Amino acid sequence: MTADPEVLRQLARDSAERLTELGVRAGDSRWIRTHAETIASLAGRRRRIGFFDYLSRLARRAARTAR
Amino acid sequence: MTPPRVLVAAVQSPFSGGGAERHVRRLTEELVARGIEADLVTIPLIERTRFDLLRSALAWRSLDLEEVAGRPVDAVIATRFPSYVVRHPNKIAWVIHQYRQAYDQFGTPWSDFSSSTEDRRTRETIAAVDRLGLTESRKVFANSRTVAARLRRFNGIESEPLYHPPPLVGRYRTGPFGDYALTVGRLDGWKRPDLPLRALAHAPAARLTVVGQGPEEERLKRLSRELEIDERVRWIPRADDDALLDLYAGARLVVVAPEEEDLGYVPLEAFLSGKPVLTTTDAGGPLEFVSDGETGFVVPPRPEALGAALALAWERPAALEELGRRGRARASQLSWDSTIDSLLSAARIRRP
Repeated sequence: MTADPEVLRQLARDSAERLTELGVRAGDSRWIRTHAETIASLAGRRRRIGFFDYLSRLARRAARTAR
Repeated sequence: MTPPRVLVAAVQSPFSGGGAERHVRRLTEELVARGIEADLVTIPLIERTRFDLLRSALAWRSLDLEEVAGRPVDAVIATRFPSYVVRHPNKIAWVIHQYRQAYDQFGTPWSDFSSSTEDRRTRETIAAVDRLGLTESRKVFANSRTVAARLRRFNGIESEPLYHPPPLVGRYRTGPFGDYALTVGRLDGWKRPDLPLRALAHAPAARLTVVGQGPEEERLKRLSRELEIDERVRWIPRADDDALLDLYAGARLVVVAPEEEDLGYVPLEAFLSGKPVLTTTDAGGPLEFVSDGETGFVVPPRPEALGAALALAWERPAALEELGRRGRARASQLSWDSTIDSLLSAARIRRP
């Protein structure tokens, strides 16, 4: 069983915003990568790579637009 | 009338439940005892990697406790990093202590944070988490003046010290002054458990009972043999509540040696058992209760100084009774009633 891609995207968007609130910056690439891997691990094996790129972009964007 | 609903947010340390875990359970029970519908919410703090700390903060931040099971939650009382970033419009922070390795312990042997870029960013992020969680709280309490001073110094955040009684309040009892000084606490390096042992070498008549276990245990036993004091030291790795009450009641005095303790229950437990406390000028929280010559002895953190105080306690035991009596009067002023009133009043909740 794999998670619904749209649910994962929503989770990714929300958690990227939360990470930014907590002080993560766009330059914290290792943390963003680790977080992206965490969420991507909820996706099926085939989708994982695509999700990972998507989530990394999302987390960086959120961090760039931080308050 | 429906009772107010309050959630206590606490960080869990799986497999090593200590004073903080006990404290939040008691807080929840005391709320329930006063007619509040209270419950405890915990998430483990995992510290395997630096990112794990952030992941724990993210887990708390992802929670919105405004409503649970179809009913609103009136307030959240958050206690430790990073539980205070949980989302709730009526959040009260009662900071037991911060993530000290990133603050006052940084640069000491008790912190494993280095000056690497990742560690520097982690410390900055911990400060950002503290700032976020505490500045959006309706009110920030600290466990002691020592913790409040750290919040001001490192985060520029004002807080109000809020004391509470020690875990076994109502059960401590006095007893005859025995032939041993007592230390109670985990045998961790930063608690300086070696100091009372080294002090014993300067007080030939004194005896010491050490209650606790931890990573330093073997090293300390070796030290006591090297100092040739091992025949005067009794080791008790674990003591249940009744045994601990007996040990306090029968002690001659209680030694509190940690540096920069947040609050420390031990001095309060000693006082409620009618025993004076021997502590050091850099003890932190204990100094908010122990006054030199009034309720105990406060000496420089050197073995000779503690040893001199121990020697005095064995040469002139008559003075101890009055010190212990004053300590008891001081600690008896603390009550859960006033603590809970302060918390509920800050949350604008009326007691049922």
